[in-house]
Amino acid sequence: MNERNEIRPVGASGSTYDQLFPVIRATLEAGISVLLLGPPGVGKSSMAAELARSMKKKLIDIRLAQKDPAELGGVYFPDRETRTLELFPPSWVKRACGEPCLVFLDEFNAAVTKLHQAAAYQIVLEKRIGDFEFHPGTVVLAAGNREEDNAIVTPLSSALCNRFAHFEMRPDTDAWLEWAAANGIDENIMAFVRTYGDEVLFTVSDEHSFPTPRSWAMASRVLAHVDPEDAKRALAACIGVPMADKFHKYMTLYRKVDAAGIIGGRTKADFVRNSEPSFIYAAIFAVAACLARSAVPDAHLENIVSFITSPGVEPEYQILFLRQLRNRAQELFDRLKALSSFRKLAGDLVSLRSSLYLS
Amino acid sequence: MEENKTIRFNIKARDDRFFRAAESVLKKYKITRRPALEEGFVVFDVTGGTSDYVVRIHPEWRENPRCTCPDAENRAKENARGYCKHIIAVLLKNTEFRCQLLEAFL
Repeated sequence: MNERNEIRPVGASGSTYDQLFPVIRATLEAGISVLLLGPPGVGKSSMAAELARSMKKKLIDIRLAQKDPAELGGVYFPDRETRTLELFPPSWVKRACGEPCLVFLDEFNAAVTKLHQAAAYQIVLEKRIGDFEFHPGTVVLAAGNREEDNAIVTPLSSALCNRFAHFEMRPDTDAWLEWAAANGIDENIMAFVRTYGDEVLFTVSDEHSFPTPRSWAMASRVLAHVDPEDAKRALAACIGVPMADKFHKYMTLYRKVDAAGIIGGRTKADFVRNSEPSFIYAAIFAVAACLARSAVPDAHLENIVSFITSPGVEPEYQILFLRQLRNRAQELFDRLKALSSFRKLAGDLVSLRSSLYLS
Repeated sequence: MEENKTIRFNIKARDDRFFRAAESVLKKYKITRRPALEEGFVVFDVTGGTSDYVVRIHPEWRENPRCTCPDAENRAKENARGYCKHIIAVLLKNTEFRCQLLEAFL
């Protein structure tokens, strides 16, 4: 067997966050360690945190490439009385032994040494460090980048590879938008990513800055702090110049939507004349964002239903809008249920969806 | 700027599993609506499976539907906001309440 085997996970193109989550959780629950590969910034660390939360385990987050091997495997000190060497484990080992934890070994294949691999071998295979055995409920999830993503990758030994169940994650617009809505990501960015999809959410580049789910989240934080005249340069620093240019062109379109006027009933969006998906997405995100940050009187609730049932708004746009509303303005979403027009919209959407199963 | 022309109805794998399970409930189980409201809820008995369960629906959607099955409290609660296959089957069968399924796949 080739001792320095390259990692080749099942499924060349990988799976999405939503597809992988239940399978990885079941694999970990079966006591099998998992190696999750994927491009930088795709959400591997977020998945580790979410898995720990859903499995009710403490998260131990270890960036392998930033650790000295002793911080992984501990150090031996002489005990003069017994004339033996005693292992002093790092503090995380005591936690992993004392209670059910999810040990997340990030950057697993990034420039790790043989000493790192030796410690990792014990962690993954034996779930122990020296004589310190992990709690029976402690599980191990490792993550790393792929060679094709221009990341520095150290091949792992085939013996170590063979101890893992391997999964590969790819970026997914729908899953990211759901996460983004729940994590306060700038609505303009969400609208832009929804409009253009995976091609703007993630693009590998030789440049230092390029768009990934993580760099879009960085861009969102920057936009909240930077002066408008510096926004483009600040964005380019996070997502690269070409994507920042494209985003700014889109913003020109987005600013044409009078969200407050639509909610107040003073204006209507004409999706028959402006039927381009980019405009419809811009309108949906602009109105949803406005609703999420303003108090809406009961008298305006019907305007919201009128907006989303306007001629030219297809069911997939309606679902997107309702998802945004449910994620960002749950109270308002619940108030809409009192309207018969909203219940009709909901019933129509459900019937359309369920018609697949009611033949 | 080139427009993204790809439009699709977003279906999650999770929805697919639950709808298929609900379809089997519709085919195999008996769903009986109780004649009167109980504490403001429309009540349905779902019988014919390994155990019998009770599904409660608020007629004006002031609360989300509830079911007595363990799945509604456990797996479905986490994966599908408490919409177990019995709730989905009851809502699918009764068109007047079908709108209440909306949140199951948002």
